[in-house]
Amino acid sequence: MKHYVRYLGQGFCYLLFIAFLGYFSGSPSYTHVPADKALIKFSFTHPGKRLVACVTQTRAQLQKLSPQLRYGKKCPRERSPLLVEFAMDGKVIYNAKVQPRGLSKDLPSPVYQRFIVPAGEHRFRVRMQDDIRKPGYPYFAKKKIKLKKLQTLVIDFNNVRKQFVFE
Amino acid sequence: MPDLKSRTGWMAPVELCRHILQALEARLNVFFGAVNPFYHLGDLGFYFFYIMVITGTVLFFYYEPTVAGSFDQLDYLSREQWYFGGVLRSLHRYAADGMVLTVALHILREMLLGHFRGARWFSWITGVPLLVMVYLSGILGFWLVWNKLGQFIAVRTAEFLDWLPIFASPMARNFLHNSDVTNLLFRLLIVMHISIPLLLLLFMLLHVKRVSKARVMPPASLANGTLVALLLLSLFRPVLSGERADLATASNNVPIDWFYFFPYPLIHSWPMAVLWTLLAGGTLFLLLLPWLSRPPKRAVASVHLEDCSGCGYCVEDCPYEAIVMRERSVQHPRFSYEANVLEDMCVHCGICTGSCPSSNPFRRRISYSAGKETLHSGIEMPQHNIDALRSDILQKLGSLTAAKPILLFGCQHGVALGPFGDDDVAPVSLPCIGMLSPAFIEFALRKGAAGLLVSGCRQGDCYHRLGDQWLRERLSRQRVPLLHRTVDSSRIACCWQAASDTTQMHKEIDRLRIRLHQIIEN
Repeated sequence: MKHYVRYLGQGFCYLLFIAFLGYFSGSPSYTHVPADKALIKFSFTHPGKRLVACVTQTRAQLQKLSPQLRYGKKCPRERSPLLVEFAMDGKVIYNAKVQPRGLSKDLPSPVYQRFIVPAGEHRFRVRMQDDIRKPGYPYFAKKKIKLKKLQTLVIDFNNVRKQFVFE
Repeated sequence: MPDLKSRTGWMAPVELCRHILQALEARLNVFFGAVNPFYHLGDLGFYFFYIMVITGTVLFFYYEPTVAGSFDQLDYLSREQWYFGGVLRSLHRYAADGMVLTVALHILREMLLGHFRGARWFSWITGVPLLVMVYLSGILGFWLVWNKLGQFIAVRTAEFLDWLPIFASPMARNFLHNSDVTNLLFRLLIVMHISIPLLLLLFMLLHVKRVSKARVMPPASLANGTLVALLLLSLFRPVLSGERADLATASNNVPIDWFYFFPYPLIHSWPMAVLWTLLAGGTLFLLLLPWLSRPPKRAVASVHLEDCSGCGYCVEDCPYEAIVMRERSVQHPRFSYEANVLEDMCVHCGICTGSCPSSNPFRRRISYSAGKETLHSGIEMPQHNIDALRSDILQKLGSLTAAKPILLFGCQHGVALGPFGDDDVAPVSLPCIGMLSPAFIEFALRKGAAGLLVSGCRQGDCYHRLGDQWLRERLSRQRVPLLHRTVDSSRIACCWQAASDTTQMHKEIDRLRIRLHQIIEN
């Protein structure tokens, strides 16, 4: 085969290579959230109440333990799961019992949910119970918000003020 | 087409894919020859890494690891200093994409050709963490730009990792608000983006540790062509930052780099458990592959001390570093060293036999154990010794009744030789064509062969890496053991083809017949 034909063939192959590389390095673009929608991130972490109350140990019980383990109170570490409910426009879109993290289930329960919803005005209602032994939902919030197109609304829980926050 | 009917179960599609790959390589061979990019996928991976290191080092001096600075600096480079900083940035990105592409093809090709079995397990296993590190450093690199793509990748990566119940608080909560992202994060990211490639380099060296004469740089023409192509791409389609990351606004149309992030759109479409199972299962499959289809155990090369002079040619030629020279175990008045075979690393290719100066069919030695006249080489394969090869040649020549008999020496991994047997052609099959010592060529011609056709894998694509190259150099008298000066080279033809290229072999045999006819007529 003549040299120039080989070089032309090689050039064509390089051209194909860079066309492939150049195209797929940024195309086709991926529609993450459609342009007429908004994104809601419903996320918080909150520690449930301890499932078993601390017990004061008697002197006899303490005597059976090694000196370094003789605490006045014995506190089981397991926490209650959270009961969480999130409703939009009167329709419940998330309802879950969220288990605490940790091998001993002694860490806060995490919630991270994302919803893609139409932009516009919506009524939101969130409620949470952090003690599974009790009825009802002690933490509650509702709000009407007008979502812009592609807006990200974060619904969080402030553990200091003990209330839901819409940001 | 390959004989797919003879293959059953999962082997049929593998055979078909191998055939498609070889057909594609054959097309590229027309233009590229020995510098066919498919024969250099591993070294191209190294080359793209070098480009990334050089461009990345320069970019590092311009980069400001802060929330605002990361975007501003890179955007400035791409827009205001497009002729230098912008080109460097584009080269960095496209080299990263090129590396992923070549690494993926390299894995696929080695898998189809069965280059993970036996002694090659080490290179295969060390390649798996390489793949992980290539992806990790790439993900961090995109994150560092902190544009809409970086935002998308940061959030999706965190959401993907959050499925594992190991974090007390979801990682994705670090990307709820713009105020959650701090300068400290970017300092951490840049340190990781530098340290992971350093670790990558370490594993790359480990990857080729057991490979003799490993190619860590493609041939000059391929390297230059690739660099020019990347430069053109960088100039005509420069990488731009697009929009700045803003966590208060959702990413809409994200210009995803599909080489790295092809699974990312699945993160919210498929159940996370399925994705993690695929990831873990795929990794485990790659790690266990060398042991899932083990080749039958064969005897490794053995050294005959009486015939080994300790010259070291076998050490030089072994493609797998499976032979070492040690002090002679039995004293010899002239020779101080002897060859020792490392059993775990020997792949039974027989290339050492081809390189041994004592692999000579004209020699004769009385075997002390059997008490009969047996030919031995200093190092040879027990199941393919040179005595058997010598007998095979004599027997095949005796069976040919034609006036101009041709011996066809071939490799077990190249074109199947059986169908080429004819009145005037007899095939002699070897584990690798590199096993053929030039003395056997001279022997065959002296014993009545009118001509010889030597067939092996395509140039640059030897199943045992270097067998074809060593024989070519021996035949052209550039490598020991040399083809003797008195041998008429015009009676020897070579055919370097893939297993599927039977047409070319027929043509070469016909050409040799015509040439031999002309030589004898004259």
